Amino acid sequence: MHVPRYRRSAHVLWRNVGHEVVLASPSGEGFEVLTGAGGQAWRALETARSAAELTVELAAWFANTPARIGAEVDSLLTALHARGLVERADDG
Amino acid sequence: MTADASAFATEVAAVGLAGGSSVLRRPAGTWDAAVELLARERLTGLAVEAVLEGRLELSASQADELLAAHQQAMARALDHERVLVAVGGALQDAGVGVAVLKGPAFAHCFYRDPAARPFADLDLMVAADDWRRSCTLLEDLGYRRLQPEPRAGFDERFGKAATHRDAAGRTVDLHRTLVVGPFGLWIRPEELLARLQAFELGGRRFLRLDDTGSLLNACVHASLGWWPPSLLAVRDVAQIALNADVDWGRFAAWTERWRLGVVVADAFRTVERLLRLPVPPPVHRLVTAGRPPRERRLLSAYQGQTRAHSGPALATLAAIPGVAAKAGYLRALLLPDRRFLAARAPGQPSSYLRRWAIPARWLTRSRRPGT
Repeated sequence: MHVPRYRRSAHVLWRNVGHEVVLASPSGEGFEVLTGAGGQAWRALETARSAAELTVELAAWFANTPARIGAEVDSLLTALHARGLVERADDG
Repeated sequence: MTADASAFATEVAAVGLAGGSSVLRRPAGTWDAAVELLARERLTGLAVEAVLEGRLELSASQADELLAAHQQAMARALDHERVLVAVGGALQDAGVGVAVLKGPAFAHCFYRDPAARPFADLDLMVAADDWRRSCTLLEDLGYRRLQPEPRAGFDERFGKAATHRDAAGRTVDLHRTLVVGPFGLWIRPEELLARLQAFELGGRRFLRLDDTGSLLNACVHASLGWWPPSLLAVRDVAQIALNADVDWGRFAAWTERWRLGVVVADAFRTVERLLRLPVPPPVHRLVTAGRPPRERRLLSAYQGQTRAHSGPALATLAAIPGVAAKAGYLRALLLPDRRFLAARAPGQPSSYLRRWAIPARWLTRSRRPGT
């Protein structure tokens, strides 16, 4: 089965603000703010990762178990992908 | 232990440098006032860095206040990066060679985290030949020029930059050279524009001055851009000198040929005085060399009260070669178009008398014995 891998979209403008990350789409008006694990996930997505890989990494970072945060990581990636903020590494 | 607000801001400006404090003293006054000062000096990013590294201890509410100010600063910077993608991209697509100065170029290329280097406008430099076309393109994109040029052709001959703003208040400074006044006229922008380096932002490739040109730009901005000097501009000098791949031979050659010795020396001495960072060995000779009194006098036109009284504009005469060109410059200053006068004093009848009073006052002051 093909497992999608995600990374930050190259066109997204962003900044660290403490532990948070503020994202700006170049053609948009407002901003998205990723807090807590969301901000850490964004930093990790500098290189392409599958949802499972990202889950393991965040679980280690936040001293949690992958089973407890897996569903949240999936929803975060789905939401970021729907907004065009991350892209699938195999989309070209 | 506490420090007064400006001493605190100066300590923040040195965060992470060799001369910086390992632990910052909190300001003696209210935290509101300190955050306001940090925001005004664009130092919220370095202050947040200090908190994250444990160099600055804050209560939860103080940290929240700082983060809120920093979030605003970052929103403004990101908004101007959107402007860069749209405007810089449109200029590139129209075949205009454009270089990004300071702001996004410095933040992304010389700071470990661009969040440490806020900016609130966008500075773009184009060649004199592309100047008119670039102004027109900006107007077409919804950016209105705030000040018309004094007389037709003034921009290309004597001008430094024109500020354009869109309906949302986003600002683009379109530059022909790096700074207003005599030093700006001595700089050869075509040589800076001949040595550009690429960086990527928002999925596009942009050009900036190379590391050597960037350091010179930072020195010019730190020494001549504001009075008193902007702490972030002073930090830029240290940041680029320490982290960039500067061609020191070319830096010295440009500095001497463009008569910027007094400016570069002033910038590095200010870094030494405020950020407690010694002058780097490659510029030691430039900084310690004696400079002609004339250049020192011109530098003083950018400082203190003289700056507020059109010092740089009047000092420009010194750098304009030939009597005819000097006369053209004076004519543009003393007899500008009515449109220019109206823009300078909105809502008031355009008056040459009010304008003439400025150089008259300046001349009167400069004739006093001992001044």
